[in-house]
Amino acid sequence: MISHDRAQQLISARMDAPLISGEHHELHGHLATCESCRAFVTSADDLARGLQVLPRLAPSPAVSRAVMAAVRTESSGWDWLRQGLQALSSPGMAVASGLALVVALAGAMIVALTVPGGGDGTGADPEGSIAAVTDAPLPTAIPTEIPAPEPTASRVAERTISAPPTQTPKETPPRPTATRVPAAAIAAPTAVQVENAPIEPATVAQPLIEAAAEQPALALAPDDGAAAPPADLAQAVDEPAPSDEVAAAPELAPEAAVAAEPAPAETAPESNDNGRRGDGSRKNNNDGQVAPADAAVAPVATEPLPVPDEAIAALENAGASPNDLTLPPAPVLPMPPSQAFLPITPTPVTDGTPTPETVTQAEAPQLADEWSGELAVTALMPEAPDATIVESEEITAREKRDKSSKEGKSNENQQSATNDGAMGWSMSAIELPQDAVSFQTTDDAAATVTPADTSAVATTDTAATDTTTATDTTIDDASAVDPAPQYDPVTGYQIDATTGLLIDPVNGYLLDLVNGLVYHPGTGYQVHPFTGLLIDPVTGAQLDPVTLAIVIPAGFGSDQPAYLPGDDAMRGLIEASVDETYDNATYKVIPPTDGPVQPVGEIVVPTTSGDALEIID
Amino acid sequence: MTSDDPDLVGRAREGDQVAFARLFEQYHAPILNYLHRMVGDRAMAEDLTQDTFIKAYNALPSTRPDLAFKPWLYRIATNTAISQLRRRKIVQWIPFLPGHDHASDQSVERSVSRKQDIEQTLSRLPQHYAAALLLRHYQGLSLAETADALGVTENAAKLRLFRARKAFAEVYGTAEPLGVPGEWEAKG
Repeated sequence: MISHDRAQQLISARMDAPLISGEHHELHGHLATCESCRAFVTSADDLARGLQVLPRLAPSPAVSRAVMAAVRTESSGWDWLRQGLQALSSPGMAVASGLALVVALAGAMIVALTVPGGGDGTGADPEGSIAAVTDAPLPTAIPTEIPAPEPTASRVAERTISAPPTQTPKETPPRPTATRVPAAAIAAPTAVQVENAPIEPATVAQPLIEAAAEQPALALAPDDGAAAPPADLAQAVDEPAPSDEVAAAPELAPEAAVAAEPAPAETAPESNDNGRRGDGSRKNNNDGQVAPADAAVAPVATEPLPVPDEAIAALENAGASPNDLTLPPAPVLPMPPSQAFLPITPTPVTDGTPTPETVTQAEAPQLADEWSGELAVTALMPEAPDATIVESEEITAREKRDKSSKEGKSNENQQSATNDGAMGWSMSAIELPQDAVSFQTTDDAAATVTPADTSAVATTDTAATDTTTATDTTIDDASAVDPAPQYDPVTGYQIDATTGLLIDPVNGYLLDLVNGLVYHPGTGYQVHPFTGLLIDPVTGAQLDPVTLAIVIPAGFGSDQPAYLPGDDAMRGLIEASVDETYDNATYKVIPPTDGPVQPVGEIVVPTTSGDALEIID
Repeated sequence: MTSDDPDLVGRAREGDQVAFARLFEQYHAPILNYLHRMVGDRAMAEDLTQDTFIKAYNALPSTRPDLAFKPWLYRIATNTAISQLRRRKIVQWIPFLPGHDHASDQSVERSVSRKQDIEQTLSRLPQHYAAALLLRHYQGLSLAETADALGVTENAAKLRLFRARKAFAEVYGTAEPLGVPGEWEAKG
């Protein structure tokens, strides 16, 4: 006989893969005698089936637009720079760079050995040195050994911007360029032609390796070639460089060269650039097809690649990286003065229920009497309206509420009172005993919410259970003084004399059958139809009917509307954090900042154990 | 993963926006729904979906050619959701919206469907359990894909699924059905 745990493991495993025969028999044998494991089977099957049929949302057009816009932005912004850096760090490029470094060092040694005065540090005539170098034999095999070109186009663009074009030491021949190759070594008729003419695509697309092999002198740039980074050398080998403007003006700034470049997009090579254009943007597979047919014919210029306009723009706009897609949080809107509200703690709305005017200061505050001590929680403290305190707008609102109350518009009154801030009640912080810090869990609260218990906590179940006893100083006592209780002929329920609502004989709640609402008699708060908790009309928080502690509703984590700062329908905020194991959550109740509120404190609740909260501070 | 995935992923890795758009169309709704179940809020799920795909787009060029795109995408979504859940600020209170009459929907009030129970029970589970269950049963990922999406081995995924199902059964079996206040009180 297998254990329950083993059986449940098998039950779970069978949902992911078929059990082997032995396991199957073991499980069936166990299930035949174990009711709890059969219940687990039912639960697991319910879970699997239930999840499969959960409703699904349609794709969001807004998300589609946002994502594709972000993708486009990513491509046209800094992406090319990042990809260029990635290309630089690729293994192939590292090999190429190393080989280029070897070539450069070998060339430097040759220069030192063959050129009179070269390398002696005397500052010999550089022109003479260059001429000597260009005449010297060079290791022509080197360029052809360079590995397959890595994506370099974007890197070229990057280098073009950051370094002057005079650093390209190779591609000597046909054109005198920024390399300052002596005129005798140039002898390139194309240089003059290109100077004032647009670039021919075929010229741009020439395979550079071939050109380098034909003109090995490119690897030796005596003046600055040795100082050039090896990566640049390697890169230059496989990069086409349509530079006409630089040939005419070697000292031209990179930006100027770019501005004068006629058609950079067409000059991008179709080499193995790993899908990126020279500007780093992501390309489609259909574009940029430039055939290198005439590559062997036309010599290659030595200028760096032109920099695309968008790349220039991206650099000019540096500091506004498109990668930063995170929007700052929306500021909390200030609450209009007219919507200022009372503390987050329960603030009864009495419309539609017994009004504060019917209860004296000494009659109502049983909760306050019970709770005393140190706790940063304010509790219900009804008090008579003070004409010296109540603002004129509150008076107006109360008149409005009373008028509506007479018309029986209890629900509207509640909302109106909430919106107008005319509570007719005021809240004051009281000292709560430390032992009151720990409130009941929901289950405990549910277990204690019985008619008998509610009568001990300022609620009036007496109307339902004993309407003749008028000893409790509760709100419903107002109805108790009615000598002749009225009963609804349809339901048989007693009618509350003050509100005209029916009194639920089970729990004493006030039933508004017209609007389908239920009210808690002690506080006047609406009872949430799903959770059975009381709804604080000011904060929107749900309260335990017995302790009036704020309770995380059972629907925690479910689909709730977003918090709207300043919205009267939802007030307050709970900041939630979960520990590393996700087993416990900490909720910090943050009251709105735009009213005279009292902090509630930090709340800790085990995620899986229930809904009620424990106020620890 | 469909048969088009390898080609699409390869092209998207090389920067083909059209290919990435195809992948986005293919996985947009599943990821959105998965995140919606994870965080329980549609607006937040949409934001996280956007973040997920942008992260995927940025990370694609550096991935291996044999990338299993689907579980990889779900892993990004899972991590994004859990990160968000760790620091999010949400209102847990059911609002009292003017003009919205909760109690008028008697059918909802009086009869709680199994679907709602499952949703509610799922919302009470730790996120890593919920993620495993959603990936396996709601999104229909295989055990291997689920493991990949969770970033764990298959055995670890199997164990997590077992624990998640057990936790679900415990909460599901003892969950307070959502009913009218009278029913709620009567349980005491």
